Formats: sequence, C-alpha cells, structure tokens
Amino acid sequence: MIVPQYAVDAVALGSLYALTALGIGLTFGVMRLINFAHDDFVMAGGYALTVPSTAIAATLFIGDWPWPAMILAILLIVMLIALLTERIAFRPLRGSSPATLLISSFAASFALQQIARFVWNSDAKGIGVGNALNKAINIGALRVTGLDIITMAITLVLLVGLVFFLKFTRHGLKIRAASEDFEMARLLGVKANTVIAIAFALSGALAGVVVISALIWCLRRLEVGFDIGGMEISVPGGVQELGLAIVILAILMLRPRGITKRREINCPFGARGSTKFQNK
Amino acid sequence: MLILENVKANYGHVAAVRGVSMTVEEGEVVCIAGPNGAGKSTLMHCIAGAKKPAGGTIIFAGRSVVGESTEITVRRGISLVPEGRRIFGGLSVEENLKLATHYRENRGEIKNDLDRVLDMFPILRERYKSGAGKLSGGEQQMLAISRALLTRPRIMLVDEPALGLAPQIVDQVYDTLLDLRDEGMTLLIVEQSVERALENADRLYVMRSGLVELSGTTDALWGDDRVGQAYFGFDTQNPGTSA
Repeated sequence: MIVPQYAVDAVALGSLYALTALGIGLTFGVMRLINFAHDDFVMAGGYALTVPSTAIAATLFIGDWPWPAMILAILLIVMLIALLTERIAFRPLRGSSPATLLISSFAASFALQQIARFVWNSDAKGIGVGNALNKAINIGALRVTGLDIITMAITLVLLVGLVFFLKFTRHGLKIRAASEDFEMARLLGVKANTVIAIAFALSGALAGVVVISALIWCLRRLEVGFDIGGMEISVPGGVQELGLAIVILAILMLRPRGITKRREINCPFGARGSTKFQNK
Repeated sequence: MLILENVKANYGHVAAVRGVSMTVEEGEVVCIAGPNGAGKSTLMHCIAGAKKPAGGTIIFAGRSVVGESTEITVRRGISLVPEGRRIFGGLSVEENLKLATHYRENRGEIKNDLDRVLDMFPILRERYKSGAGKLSGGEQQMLAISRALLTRPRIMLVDEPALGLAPQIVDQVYDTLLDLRDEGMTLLIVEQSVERALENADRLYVMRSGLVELSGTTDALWGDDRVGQAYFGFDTQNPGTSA
C-alpha cells in the first residue's frame, strides 16, 4: 500500500505547488510581473495565525478559531496584504519595465519579511493548529488526515472555479484579454486598476489557501525555493495556456519530486500539527 | 469636435510629435498621411489617451482629454483601431466582441449593436465561436473595426487599416469605413498611401518628422505637387532640390 499512500501525500503536496503557481501566474499574466513577494504573502498568513509577539512560545490567535472562521480570516488577511502590496509597491510603477517591477517585488518581499521579523522576531515557533483536522483517518491501509482531504478538495474546487471564472465571467474575460494585450484591453475600456486588483486579490486568496494547506506539510521555511517550484509552471503556463498549465500541474501533483527520481518524502506524519513557521 | 493644439509627445528624449495642431469636424473623414516615423501613430495614441502628451491640448466635444486614462477616453466616445489590429488571438470572435461591450449596461442595446456589426460583416457571424487568432488578416481587420464600433464611438481613430492586407481587401475595408461615414461616423484615419488618403478622405494632413507639413481639403490637394514634397521632404519633380 506504499504507492497509494505516496500518491495521496504527493497530490496533497502538489496541490500547494499548483496553488502557488496559479497565484504567481495570475499576476504575471496581467502585469508581466514575477512577484517574488508571493511567498511572503504565505508567510504573513502563517504568522497571522498567532498573536503578534516576539515571545519564543507562540500563542494562537486566528489559529485557535473554529476552522471555517480560521480559513475565511486567513484568506481575507492574505488577500488584503496582496492588495496593499499592489497599491504600495506596484501601482506607482505602472507602465515600468518588467525588470523594475521585479526589483520592486524584491523590495516588497524584503519589507514584509522585516516587518515579520520586527513583530514576531526571527526564531522558529512551533504551533499546533487545527488538531481536530490532523486526526488521521484510516481508509484501508491509507492514512489520510482531514486537512489532507480539505487541501485536495479546496485545490480542486479552486482550479475548477478559477477556470470557470476566467472562461465564463465578465471579469475573467477582462483578465484573459489583459494578459494577452494590456494596452488593447484598456483601449476597449477595461480598467487597469480593477483588473490588476482582481488578479492580486485572487493571487492573495490562492496564497491564503496555501497557508492553510502548508500547515500539514511542515514547511519550516517558506522561502524562494518554494516559490521557484510554482514559477516553473506559471511562467510557461500563464493564464492564457491553462491547458498546458494544468498538464504541468498534474505532473507536479502526481510526481512532485520529479518524473524519474524516486526518493522518500521525508515529512514524517508525526510532525503534523506542530508546524513551524520561520521567516528568513 | 476634435481640436488638437500644439500637441507634443516624446519617447524618452526623442521627440516623436513636435507640436501638431489639427481639427476634425463631426461627420468628416480626415486622413493623416506621412512616411514611417512621422509621429502619426503616436498622435493617435495621444488622442485615445494611451500616451500622455508632453505638451499641448486635445479637446474632444468641448472637454480636454489630456491626462484622462484610456479607459475613460473610450467611454467618452473616442475609439482607436490600432495599427496591426491587435485582436485578442487567444479569445474567440465572440469574446473579442463582448469585451468591447463589457462596461455597457443596456443589454437590449448591446444585442442590437452586436447584430448590426455581424450583419455588416457576415464572416464574423460564421466564425463567431472560433478563435480570433485563426482569422485571416482582412477578417481580423473587420473584427477590430467591429470591436471599436461596439464601444459606441463618436469618433473612430483608425491606424493604418490597409497594413498587410491584399489590395481588394483594402478596398473592402475602405468601403466599410465610408459606409460608416455615410451613417454619420466621424473618422480620423492614418494612411501611409497618399493616394488612398486623397481618394477616401474629405481632408488631409501630411505629417513628417513629427510636424504637419501640409493640410487642406482633398479636392484642393488632388494633383498638387506640394503633397509629394511634404511627404518625402524634397521636390518629387526635381529630386535634387530640398523642399
């Protein structure tokens, strides 16, 4: 039963990459911005689970709320941070070269990290979140946690929802058009601020889901390495080539450690529920 | 209806438009002719709000459009069909058209307008659900014009509608534009070919190196040597002498 077990774990981990890639891909598509602050949205969401304090032992704040409230609050907070970042770091540079935007995204990333370091300090903090969700359910020989199931379900719903949004709604049409030719979309009346804000809000929501999902995956350091995994999909994929993106996503979800290499996933199940967040 | 006064525009330190004044009256077809690099397209982008002029005034229907963003300018009734058509190849014909109506509220009106452009260009009705990127150059030009029409413009700026099209298709495109004029549309067209400009427009401006070199009604300029001089910058009858 080891293969199905790996498959379940791989799909759950791959979901995180998928969501990250989509988040980065949305803003890249619309603005040609590779947002290196995306992983810091995830970090910020992680810290938001705890009471702001430099104490070594973290006290849960939002992380202590009933999980529907927790998920909603984290989503809203990360969306808000994403929108604020756009307003402060990117909107004043509208129309600048992609290189300028990239550097601004480094600055935004650095600023978010330093704020987190200032408020929470840079020590690793252990937190126990959503213990009820971390109870393993045995399905035959498979061990699946509630959070596993929620992660996969949310990813699936978001993927389908996002495709539906982009394909069938008025705002989705604007985003697809703006991804292809931003100036032409504006010439047809598409408001730049609106479409960029929507892309950032969605990107933030996707990062928020990653926060919640990442709790299982003992990602001690949510850093650039994590972002790069998403980048590989989002850059060739973008939002225009959703088909291609989904194929690559599927590969990453099913074979997150590569197509040929077989290595153990060294994330012991015992570590669940005591996920550590640490800023860089 | 449209009054430009001493409009200037730069790309970095390079001056593309160096003080252009022109007017377009309601219901007129005005052509801007000139060689590559004359600043014609830049001027069109300034009028449409897609490029901020470095100086001068642009008044449309009694109000300045300088400093207004593109998305507001189009709502005020200025629609640009840009050079190279720039249709969204990844979207279907339907989506290209629907995008142009996204900010309008009256669904009945939108449907009527959509029917009207599809009657005007039946090929677009045939290809309604297929990808716009698969259309031929002429069909793409029709789509670009339809898309601009669906924003309900009071003036249409058409930048080099003939670019890259077969001669008979060019004629079709101009027939369409003149039909629109007959229905009361005001048109400002950029055209590299002076001959086509003289054939189709009421008035002509010849631009070179960011300036208007010559202007007048096409009737008056027809057969006038000064048109060639203004266009090429030298006397076309005696190429050795400077104009």
